[in-house]
Amino acid sequence: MRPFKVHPASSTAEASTLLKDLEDATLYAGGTELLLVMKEGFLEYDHLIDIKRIPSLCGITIDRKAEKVTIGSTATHTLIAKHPDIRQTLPLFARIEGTLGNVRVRNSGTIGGNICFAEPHSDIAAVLMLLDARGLVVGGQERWSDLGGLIVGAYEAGLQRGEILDRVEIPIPDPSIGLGYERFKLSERPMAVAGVRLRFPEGSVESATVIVGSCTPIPTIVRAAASLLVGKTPAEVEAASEGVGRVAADAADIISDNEGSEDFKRHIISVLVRRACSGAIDDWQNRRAQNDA
Amino acid sequence: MSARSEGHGHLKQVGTPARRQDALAKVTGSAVFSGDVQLDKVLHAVIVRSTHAKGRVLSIDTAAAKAMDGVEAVLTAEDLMVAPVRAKALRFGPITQDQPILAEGSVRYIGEPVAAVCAVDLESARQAAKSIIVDIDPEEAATTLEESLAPGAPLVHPIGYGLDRGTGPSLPLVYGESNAVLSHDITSGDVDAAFAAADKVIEGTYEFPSSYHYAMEPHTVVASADSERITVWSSAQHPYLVQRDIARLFGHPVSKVRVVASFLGGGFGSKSFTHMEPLTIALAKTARRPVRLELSVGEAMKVTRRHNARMHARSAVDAEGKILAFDAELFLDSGAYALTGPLVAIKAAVRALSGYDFPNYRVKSHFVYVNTSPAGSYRAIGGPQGAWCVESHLDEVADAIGADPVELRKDLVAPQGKEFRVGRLEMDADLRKNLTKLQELMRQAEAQVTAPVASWKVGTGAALGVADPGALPGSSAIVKLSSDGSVTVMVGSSELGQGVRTIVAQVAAETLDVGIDCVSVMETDTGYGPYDTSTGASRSTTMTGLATYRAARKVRDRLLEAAAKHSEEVEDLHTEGGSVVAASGKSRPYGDIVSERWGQAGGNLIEVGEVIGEDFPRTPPFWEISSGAATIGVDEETGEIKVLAYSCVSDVGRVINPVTLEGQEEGAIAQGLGHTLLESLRWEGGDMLNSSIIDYRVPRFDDIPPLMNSHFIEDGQGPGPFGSKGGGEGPIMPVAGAVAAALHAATGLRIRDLPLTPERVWRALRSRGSDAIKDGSPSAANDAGKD
Repeated sequence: MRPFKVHPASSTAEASTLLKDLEDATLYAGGTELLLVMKEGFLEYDHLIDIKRIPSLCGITIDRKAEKVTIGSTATHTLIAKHPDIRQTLPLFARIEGTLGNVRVRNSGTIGGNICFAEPHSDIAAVLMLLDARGLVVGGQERWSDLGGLIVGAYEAGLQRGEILDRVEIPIPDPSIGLGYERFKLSERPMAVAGVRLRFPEGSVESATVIVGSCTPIPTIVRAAASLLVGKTPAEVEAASEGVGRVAADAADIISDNEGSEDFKRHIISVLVRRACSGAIDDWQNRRAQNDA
Repeated sequence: MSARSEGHGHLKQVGTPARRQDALAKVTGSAVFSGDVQLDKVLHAVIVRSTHAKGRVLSIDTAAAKAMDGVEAVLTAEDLMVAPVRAKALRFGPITQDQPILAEGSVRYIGEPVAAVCAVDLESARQAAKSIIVDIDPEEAATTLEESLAPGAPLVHPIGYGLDRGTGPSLPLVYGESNAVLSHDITSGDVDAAFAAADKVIEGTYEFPSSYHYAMEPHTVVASADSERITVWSSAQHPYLVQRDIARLFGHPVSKVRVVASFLGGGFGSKSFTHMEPLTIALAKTARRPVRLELSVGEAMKVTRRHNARMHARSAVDAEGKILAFDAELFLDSGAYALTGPLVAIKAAVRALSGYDFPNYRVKSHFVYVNTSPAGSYRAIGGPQGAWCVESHLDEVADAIGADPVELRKDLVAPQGKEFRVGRLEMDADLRKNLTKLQELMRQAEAQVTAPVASWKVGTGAALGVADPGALPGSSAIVKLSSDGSVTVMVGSSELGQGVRTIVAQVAAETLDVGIDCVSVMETDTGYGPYDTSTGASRSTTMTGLATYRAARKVRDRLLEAAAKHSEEVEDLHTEGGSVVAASGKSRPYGDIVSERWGQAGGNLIEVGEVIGEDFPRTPPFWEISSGAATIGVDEETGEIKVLAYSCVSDVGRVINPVTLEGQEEGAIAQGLGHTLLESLRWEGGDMLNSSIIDYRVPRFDDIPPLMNSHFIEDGQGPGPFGSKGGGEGPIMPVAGAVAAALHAATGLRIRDLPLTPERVWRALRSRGSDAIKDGSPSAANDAGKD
């Protein structure tokens, strides 16, 4: 590994200025992805700007009135997975954060680092997309961006030079929403994931989202699959789920790699989407039952 | 969970779960591994490797590297025979000396060391290594078993290496004709006649994947050398064989070469024999400073791996369903250098015959050179491959004749006491009893497990593994009783994590009748300690343990002699709890007797125990036996397999330490689940594609079956101390066969390739046809349209 200098930043403004001023510089938080690729010699930087000690970046807050959770970008996966409010309001997210990678990665890796590194197999961004989360980008023109804007390609974040992901905001799903999420994992990171989000205000689906990830360059919303679910009752969703899975599998931009062949991954996606449809209905029914109680 | 068959009677230390000798050091992090050795002015080494699977080395430009700040030595093959290194030979290897310290003229695999650099820090060494320009003229390579065995295939080694013998057995290798340099044949009876008379012939071809040992600690060597002495700290399983290789390569007497193997972070065969020590020494000699070489995991994966194998088996069966003959042919891909490959091929053949008493049999096995990284020893060498072949095959035979697969094996195993392989040790265990116990455990496990998801299919399967361990005699031990009554044991077997120091401590404590806490076992050091051939082949408990027992007996005898000399009471002296007790009941602590003998407060009693060739006129010294049964759940939609329960029954003679033995047994099972379900090195043009922790998946705790049951059969008849015999390798052999049999029971699938990944299982399910899958299964409907 080429020698480099670490610059501890005390604010996002300072970090942003350093990012703009220094040549060959990048942000350093958990380092679980960055240090690995630097050790392997895939990337080289002269300067690492350490943002771990910026107090505003590491908090987790819940606003029950506005029904949203805000997570600072340097919050670690363990912190998120163990946070009582997140476990209560976003149990799916807590579960995925709590089973990411391995315990060492969870203890030092951060949510912001995970999103901005944009590792295709990692599925935190897919879950955030399913949850309709958005991120606040600072350091340039301050702006909110959805996950599709934050991750624009494999290993490619949608950030300009000097921009920093400050926090992620996740709306707490209301009782009309059902979420299903399935993960197929053989090695360190998932081989394929699928998520289904259904909104049933009156007993039939008003809007639906189908997401596939880990087997595609970036987590991807499959509109053609979701449109098959709109207007359907829970029973009809179950009946249609197999076809929805097939459409999602056919539409996804899947490639063969170490994890598996393209045709196997397509098959797995079709199974996962079908199971996620059932999971979304179960989740909606549970949520409604809890709300009624 | 573990269970044992019989009691231990009068034994106090043997059979108890004594605390590991290394527990405190490892838990507190104070255990010193090779990489922890700190020497003044140590340099850091980096290796430059071939990027071609085969080729001629045209030139190596090291000028830029030599000019770099901090670089203290740059080596290529041509520097080795001249001053200051002055090596006497350039090649080494345990069976044939085919492996160069650095590639000389030719390269034979991607990753082969071509040059090496050492510098004041690692980064400088890396930069210097990067600056070295190696010009290789690539040649046509044989990078797979198929390519290597094809007619007219380019030869990996066109000529042999004379009569140079390594540290292992002498084997008839034939060079210059094909890449299959050793073909071994074990035949009994008239196999061809049996097949001619057969009512039915059952046959299949089985593939075993290439895999890596994945010891947590990659190969690490620290070397210090001058013109007179060489000292090496190395993660070596066989430090005395490394010492001999170094002495020969550098022309030093053995007495001037010291190899220290303090602790090893795992071995499993990957650290058997000499690997990186000669190169590190050559660098230290050139730089005239100590040198540290620590390989990365990716580099360690290219030092040695396990042989992938293609194996064909067929059985002749008569009209009554009786097996008349078994015939198999095995091809083992040994990579570019032999290491122990020829021996692995022979062992694979013996282990493919297992403990079965076939009326007629023939197994041919071939050691094949291929232009890939070398394959060598791996836990139960050749056993997992051979067992995968015969066990899968016997399951198919059972299916074809409508027999219960375990009952078929019970009818086929050699009876206890029978010399079932000519000239070898008779079967020393009751295999029927073993398999009957396994059936009982299988039924218990089946009753206890439930499918993780209701739609998953559940099935149970069993397999047997019988090996002829290369646990050859050739061990010594020193036992020293000090004047405070404490005991020091020195052995030449390395502590790899298997617990050898705890075992010899228990043997010494039992023999001398002292508490375990007053016994200390020293680190393995060829400079001070006694000789041992190797740490592998399940031999340490038997051979090193027996040497320890003999040394301790001698100490005890001398202690009683000394006690008699300085006592009025000389009749009926005996030892008891660290004291010599007379018939009158008068007792004197051991330490007092030692001091009396020396006539001062200090002193000691030292004895050496030996186990040598003539102690074991026949091989193997014992048969290593382990059967296993798996209950699995299968998701037929995704092909995912979960092992829900695993039971294992091992014949171990006598348990010395039930906790460390259970750890060894369960470790072997977990490692077996690796090649069964997960692990496979993947290659493209001789390049290893998944040589990293992230891309190469080994079993983790969540892959371990929730229900594990290790049962030990103890008949007290083993050749080791207190009737023990070796263990720890056996249980790896049946794992793949048991899981594949369980898959067949659950789904009807026969898969002859490993590992049983979800994708492989899914493809097999898909090709089985959609009608065989449960009615209306979405995956079946889905797949049918895609092909």
